[in-house]
Parts: sequence; C-alpha cells; structure tokens
Amino acid sequence: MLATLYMSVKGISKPTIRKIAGLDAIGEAVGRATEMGRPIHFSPGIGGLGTDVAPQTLAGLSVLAYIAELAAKYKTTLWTTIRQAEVQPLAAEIVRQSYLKAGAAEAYDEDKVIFLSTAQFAYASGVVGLMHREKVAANIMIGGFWAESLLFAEGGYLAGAIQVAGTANTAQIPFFVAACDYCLIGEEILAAGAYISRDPVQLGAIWGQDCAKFIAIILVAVGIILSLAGSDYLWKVLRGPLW
Amino acid sequence: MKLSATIRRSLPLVITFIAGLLAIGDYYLKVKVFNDFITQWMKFVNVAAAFAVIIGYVTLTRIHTRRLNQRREGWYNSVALLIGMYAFFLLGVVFSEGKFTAHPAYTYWFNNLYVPLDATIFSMLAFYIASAAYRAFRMRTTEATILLVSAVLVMLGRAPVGPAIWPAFGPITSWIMAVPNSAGMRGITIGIALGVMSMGLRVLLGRERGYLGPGA
Repeated sequence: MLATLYMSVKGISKPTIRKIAGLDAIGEAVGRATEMGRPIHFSPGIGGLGTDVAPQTLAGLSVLAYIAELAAKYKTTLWTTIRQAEVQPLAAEIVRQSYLKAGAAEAYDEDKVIFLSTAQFAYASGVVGLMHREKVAANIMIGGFWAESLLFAEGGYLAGAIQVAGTANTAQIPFFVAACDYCLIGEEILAAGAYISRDPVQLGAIWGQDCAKFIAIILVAVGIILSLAGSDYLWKVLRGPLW
Repeated sequence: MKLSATIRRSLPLVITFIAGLLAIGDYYLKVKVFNDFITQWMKFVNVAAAFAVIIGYVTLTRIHTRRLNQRREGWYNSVALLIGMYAFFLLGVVFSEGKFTAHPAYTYWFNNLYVPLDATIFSMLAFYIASAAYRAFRMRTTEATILLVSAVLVMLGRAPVGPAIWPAFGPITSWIMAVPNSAGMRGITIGIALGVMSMGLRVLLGRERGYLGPGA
C-alpha cells in the first residue's frame, strides 16, 4: 500500500479503480429527491470517533460532504441525523462548508443536522419518525450500523425512498442487501472518500489495497494446497511471532 | 484570535497524524512510561467526548423549543421530549444525592419507562425482518433463488420443527453456515481489514480529508 501510495504521489502510476454502483447511485438518489421536491435523509451510522468503528464514521462523513454539496447545488433539503454527540459538530461543519462551496450559504439550516439521542433505539425511532414525517425521497446510510440497520431500511422503504446503504459490520450487511436499492459492502464504504474525490493519490492507496487483496488470495490458495498436503508451515509462519 | 486559512487546514491534519502515531506506538512499543501516558490520554479522550453530550442537550433543546414556539405540527411530541430529557437529567444529577444513575428514583423510571420503550422498538425488528425477507427472497434472479433455498434450509434447520420433519435439516444448516457462509464472510472480513489499513494510512498521511469537509 505504501509503495502504491508513493508511486501515485510521484506520478509514476495513474491508477484506476472499478466502478462502485452504490456510490454512483448517490447522485441518482439526490436527483430523484430534487425532481420529487422531497428531502434527503443521511445517517453516518451510530459509531463514534473514539472506537474501532471510527473509520466507518469518517467514511460516512466523507460521503456526507459529497451529498451536502449536491443537495446545496440542487436546492434540495438534506436531513442529517446523528447519534454520537461528538460527531454532531463535525457533521454540522461539513454540511455548512459544503453549502458554502456550492454558493448556497443562505440555504444552510443548522437545525437540519440533528442530534437525536445517544440511546440506540431512541435514535432509531427518531430517524424512522423523521423519514415518515418528512416523506424523504432518498435515504442514504453510510457508516457503522447495528440492530437499527433494518429499522432504518424498512422505515425508508415504507416512506417510499430510494435507498443507498453501506456498512462494514458484517452482521448488518445482509439486512441492507435485502432491504435497500443499492448496498456498499464492507470495504467499499472505506473507499468512498477516495472514489468521490477522484484524487489520484487516494486512488493509489485503493489500488494498493487491491494488490494486498490479491496477495491474500494467493496466500489462501497456497494455504489450501499445503493443508491438503498435510503441512501447517504457512499457518505457523503467519501466526507469528514474526521476530 | 482568527487563525489563518493554512493553519485551519493543517492543524487538524497535524493533530490526527500525531494522535495516530501515538496510538500505533502504544500497540507496538512496550515502554512503561509511554504506555501509561497513552492510557491516561485515552481516559482524557473519553472524558472530553462525554462533554460532547452537552452539545446534544443544547441542540435538542433549541430545536424543540423552536418547534414549540412556532406551534409546528406535532408540537406536543416536543413537550414530551423536553420534559422527559430534563426530568431524567434532574433525577440522575441534581436530585440523585450523589448516587447519580444508581439512585432508586432514577432506576425506577429508567426500568419502567425507558427500558419498555427500548424493547418495543427492538421488537419491531421481527416484523421488519419478515417484510424485508419477503422482498429479498422473491425468485426474480438466480441469486435470489439461491438465497431463498439456502434461507429456507437454514430456517428449517434452526427451528425445532425442521429436524422433527427431517433430521438432515440440522447437518445441512451447519454445512451452509460453516462452509459457504463462512467463506463469504471471511472474504468480506479480509477486504474490510485491508480497507481499514488503507484508510488509516490515508488519514494518517493527511490524504483522506473528506471528513473535514470540502476544500480541506
């Protein structure tokens, strides 16, 4: 990854990565909401910034910046619901800056970046209630989600919204796949920032990630062959300690 | 004091870089003074994050007071929310006689008001799972058909009625969960682990700045 990042910084390689349908669909979702004259709802998940879910929350906030800019450009109302208090100021600032960048500072409404509750199901009921009251046309959920994932997805479906969702919490991915129109699976949400920005250096890191995945596949294949041959050499080497 | 645009842009990146290096260092280095410092620092982070709850209180109060003043549709829900929020605050902090959330009055209301409401919302999942499964399992494509067949087999294997009808449902379910399901999940997990590493690297090196807003 460091090698591909270095090559991208130096301009030695210009990596391209595969299309991610879920991220491409965000523009479509915002467009649909604009045409219908109904609002968009976004949730960056229920994870905070001080836990191991932080990368997912940061990925969600990166997507929020993109959605807010689109919403400001098309003059569509965007509701952002927050569960973790420390995410609230960050999300509010991202939305504000996005409106500024789109030249629609006057359209920014700080009350539309709303902290609901730190309690999981109180937050969930708040989100579902908001989706029904406001009749959202697009429901976008990118971040760390747990048991509330299906409540949101079904709530959005009942409100008639087009839904784009993504999480790296493996237990929740099936719910999003079953209930949403587009689903970002696992690592795809972590690539969102790079994909949206189209920054060649960030894309280089994603390319490095794909190379590492290819190495992992080779190791799995070699491990299978060695295991079938009755050798546990690779398992012992990978299990460590390395030194 | 107004910070220059460059400092405003760079400062969060520098703080992120230093904080990231300290956290990584704590994992790999076994130096007592350093590890103790990081332990204390993490406690400080938790305390600082706890203060962010005040932001939540202020935001909710402002939004719902405005709804109330403007008599917007459903304003009475805002009254219930404000009363509930401040009643719990008063019970748990002001009138708790130093026992905070362990005070009997607080635990009474928490267990008899909040917990049942929480359980009610959670129990709605059962109905939502049924409706989502109905949509997902319709045989529109080959993948959906495979999903339907495997889901029916797993449900029959997990419910007591399945093995009572045919004992092989149990072993079939175990095989589906242990072999194809585990293989798929492990593939996704490996991808996520690499994705987190890649993102961590981008954040540490200041390349991933989307979370700081556009133009950062």
